[in-house]
Amino acid sequence: MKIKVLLIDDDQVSLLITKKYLVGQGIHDLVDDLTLFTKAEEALNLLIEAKNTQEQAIFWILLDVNMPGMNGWDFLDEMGRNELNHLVKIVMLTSSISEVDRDKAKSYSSVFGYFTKPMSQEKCEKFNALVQEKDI
Amino acid sequence: MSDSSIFHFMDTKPSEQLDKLTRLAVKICKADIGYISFFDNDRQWLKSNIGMETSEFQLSESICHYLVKNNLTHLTIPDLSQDDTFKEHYAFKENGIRFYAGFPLLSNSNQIIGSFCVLGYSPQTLDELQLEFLQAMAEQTMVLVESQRLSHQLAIATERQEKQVGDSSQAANYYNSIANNSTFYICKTDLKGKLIYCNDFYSRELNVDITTHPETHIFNSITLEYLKAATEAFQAVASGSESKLRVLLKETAKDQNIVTNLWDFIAVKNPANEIVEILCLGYDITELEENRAQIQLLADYTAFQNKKILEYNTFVSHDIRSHVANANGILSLLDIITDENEYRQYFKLLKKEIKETDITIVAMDRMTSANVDFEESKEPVSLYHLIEYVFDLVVRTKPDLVFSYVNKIPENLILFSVREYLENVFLNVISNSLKFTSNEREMKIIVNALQISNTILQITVRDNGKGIDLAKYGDSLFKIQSPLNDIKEAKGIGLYLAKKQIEALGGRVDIESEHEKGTIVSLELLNYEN
Repeated sequence: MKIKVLLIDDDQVSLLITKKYLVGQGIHDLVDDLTLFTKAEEALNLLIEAKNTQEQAIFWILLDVNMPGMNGWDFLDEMGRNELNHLVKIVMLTSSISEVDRDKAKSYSSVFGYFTKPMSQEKCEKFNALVQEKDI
Repeated sequence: MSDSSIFHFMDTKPSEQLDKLTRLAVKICKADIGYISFFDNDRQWLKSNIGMETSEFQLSESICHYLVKNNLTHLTIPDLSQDDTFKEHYAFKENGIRFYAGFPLLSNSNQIIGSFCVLGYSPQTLDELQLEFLQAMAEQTMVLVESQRLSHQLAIATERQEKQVGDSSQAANYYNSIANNSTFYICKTDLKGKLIYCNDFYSRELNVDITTHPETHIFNSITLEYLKAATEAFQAVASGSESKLRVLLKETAKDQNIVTNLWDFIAVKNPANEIVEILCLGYDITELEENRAQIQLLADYTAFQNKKILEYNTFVSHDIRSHVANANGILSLLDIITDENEYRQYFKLLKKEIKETDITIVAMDRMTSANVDFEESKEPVSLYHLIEYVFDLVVRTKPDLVFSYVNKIPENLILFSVREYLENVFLNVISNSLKFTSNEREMKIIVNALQISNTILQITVRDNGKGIDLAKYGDSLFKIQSPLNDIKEAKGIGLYLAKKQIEALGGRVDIESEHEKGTIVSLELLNYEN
């Protein structure tokens, strides 16, 4: 089974920082693919496609919350609605420091972690550890 | 006590009429002194006095005492000095009185209550005519005295009656004022609710006149929605299952105003302990209710403000924090990269993030001060040209967007408003339309204006986009945390700011949308037609 990582964030700079850390920490040695999305809708389409084609892959997603159009919460709801939860393992990556958001994230079974921005070496190591622990 | 005391003649003011009689008697009898006296126990008091030095003396020492003591019809003494009984009397010895003639004043019960007398310093014998005259004078005196007694009694009776009338009318006024006060409704009804009595306040406020409409029921004025509650409470009391019930009712008062009244229905029982009437006491609490409603409104408004503060917090969290987080992220990357070009690229990004943080803070300041009095910033604004300017701005900012627009605003329409706010509002609304472009057709936006009342101008921005799922996004469209606007540099405040600014201008925003048909944003603004 392949491991693919999706970064979903409308903020290009944030995407750039996150990618830089993941690559620097050797994400490509751990996973098969790293894809960036500025729109959650596009990531959703990719997952639906993967389900339809019965792709043998698990998707680790770093998900932002505040986005125009479909936001992080909408995306999590869509996972359930489209029966995609078995395909995904999600870590929230958000600028929100609200406890309400943190608690809300915990209520989703598909959410495995909650990071506040920006991505850092430490958080990146944690993410890698999660991926290794769960899937390798 | 003698009869004279009931005449209340003792120690009263001189009587002109009696003085005339005395003066006449003195003249007719050629006397020196004349008086009319009254007796009270041992006192003799001169009601009328011609020629006497004192007006009061002891009865036992007076010559008149003999009239009383011997119950005489009259007493004449032609010469005191020659009379065995009186030659030693002080009247002669001390005062030199020689002649005395006195007739008693008789009460209705024939009791001697006083005397009519003439006296002289010379001896004198009165002839028959003079005596007859004196008797007539004594009788005349009694007629006068009796008439004065009657009028005195009448005066007392009248006074007493007046006092009684006064007292009772005061009591009546007091109870009337309680019953007809301007605060409470007081009514009595039979067991079916028919009014037997109602106070003025009830008649006046609820426009009821039971003298002309004797079949009026207490329920007549109650509004339909409260009728059930009213009849149920009344029945419970009338049937005896409750002795007293309080119920809040709305009623139609005079001028068709709806008032809120708090009623107490109280069972009134007869001595046999049967309920015979219902006493109804009501209080008009409309004002109280209105105050309560206002307080509720204030509480709602405060809750609304609190919600806004919460949204503001979220906004701060998202917008400022996201820029600061990016800046932090870039800074940490600067520590670990070695490539010169990459370093320069990150430094540029850092500058951009700091600049955007600043823009966000400026926008935030504008947003928080949007409710500040801005009357002085108002100016005449040509709406047509403002819309043209906004479309021009959009085209210049997003040259890759394909769309057309029709500006149907009359060129002569001038709004007195804050130009900057209006520009922002339309920029946000139009930008929002362009975000929901349909894949089926080219985006077309039509802006129109219609004066829908004397004071309200409705401006519509209609597009043929793919429509907005209002069920999903409707609530968040105007919220701060929906970063829908990607035209302005600052995030997530676009439509929220537009709404807040339109509200600050005294207007409102409404949005309608239909899937694959388009969206209509209606802005209603205060605009006086003339």
